[in-house]
Amino acid sequence: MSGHAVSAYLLHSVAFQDQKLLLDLLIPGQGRVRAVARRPAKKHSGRSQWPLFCLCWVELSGHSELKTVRRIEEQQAALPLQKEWLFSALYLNELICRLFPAQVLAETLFEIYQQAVQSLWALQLAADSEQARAELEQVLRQTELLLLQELGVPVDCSVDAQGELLHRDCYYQWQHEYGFVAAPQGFFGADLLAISQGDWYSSSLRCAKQLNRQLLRPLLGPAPLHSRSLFRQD
Amino acid sequence: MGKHTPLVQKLIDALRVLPSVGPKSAQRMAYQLLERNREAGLQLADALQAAMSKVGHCQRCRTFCEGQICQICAHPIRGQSSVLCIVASAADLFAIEQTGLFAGRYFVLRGQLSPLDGVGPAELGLDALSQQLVQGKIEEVILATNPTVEGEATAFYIAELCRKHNIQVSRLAQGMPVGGELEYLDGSTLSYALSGRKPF
Repeated sequence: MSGHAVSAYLLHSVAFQDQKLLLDLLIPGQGRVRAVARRPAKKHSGRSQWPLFCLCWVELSGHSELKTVRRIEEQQAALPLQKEWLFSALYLNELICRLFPAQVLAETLFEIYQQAVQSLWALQLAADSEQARAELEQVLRQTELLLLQELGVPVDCSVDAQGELLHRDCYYQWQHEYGFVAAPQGFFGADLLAISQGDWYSSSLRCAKQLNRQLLRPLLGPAPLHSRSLFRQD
Repeated sequence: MGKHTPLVQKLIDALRVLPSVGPKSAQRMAYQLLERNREAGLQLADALQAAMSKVGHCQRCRTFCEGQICQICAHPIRGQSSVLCIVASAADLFAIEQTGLFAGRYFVLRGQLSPLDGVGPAELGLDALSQQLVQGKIEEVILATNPTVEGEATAFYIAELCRKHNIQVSRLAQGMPVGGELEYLDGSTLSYALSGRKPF
């Protein structure tokens, strides 16, 4: 590819007119970018769409918000994610598309996503234990916290709203745009301190899940995340 | 000039609901029917009217059918088969039927799991499939969803449902197309072909 090509991950694609696709791309230093691409040449590849979880080279043109893909090529083979690792990656795609508007600068979003999908792939390769399941949760919780940071909602789980160090044996509640405040029940101080130190165990993971859901709720709005339903089977 | 009569315009607009038909193609079709083939136009209108009002979905497999149960589900042998092939669409069912190699029955999903398009298990009606699996007459499920991320997610979700009911699951093989050339294959397809290689 020429010198104008940039690395990109495809997050989502939908049919656009007869022979085109509307792509949501993730580009280093930019964030989420929307672009129109021709469908892959089916007679050569047998494909009707570009693969997800695949690092690509893309050449974009156009000055408006909606770019045109001049060329797109696979840089590496798509990661063949399966089962809960695939569902987790789909969850991250949905989360990013819902949280980050297209064309809004998000400088480290590409790196956060790349790290997350590569971690999921590594975990899938090593998956044979409860430990691997716990590490999957860890990847998701860490990525959620990094996405919140990229959105300008950094959470310091080591201090309260006044900047005082949290007490290990106290409970805290999170108050939107304020911080942690002591409360008779809520998040356990020891778990929050563990999150701040990257010390992941069952109750710190559970605490991070509840905390992240609370932090993400106002940003996601009332519509549910459909990918969450993939993890539930009745 | 430059404007069609109201009825001609209405016909052109109606034809544009068809896939791959833009304004020019729709106008060409409308003119062809009006100028050269009115009888075929009336037959087309009758066929559309009849199909739209009488074609529904099989209550068992959900493919297109004109009664309550489709021909395959009503077949005395195929309808009792313990092998169930799960496909994303009626077109996929038709493609498998064309091979003449499958003698079991089907379940048509009418879509695939795609969270970003708002399609989760509930929207896909997987509860209807789950009910059939619970009944205990199915011994093998063949997952014939597309080799796309959405198709894979759908397959893994259904495979998990099957394992809960102790039902054997298989998946269509993926890899090199017949008549294809290896050097032109993309990396993703080739990696599937390598990981799914068979003793020879």
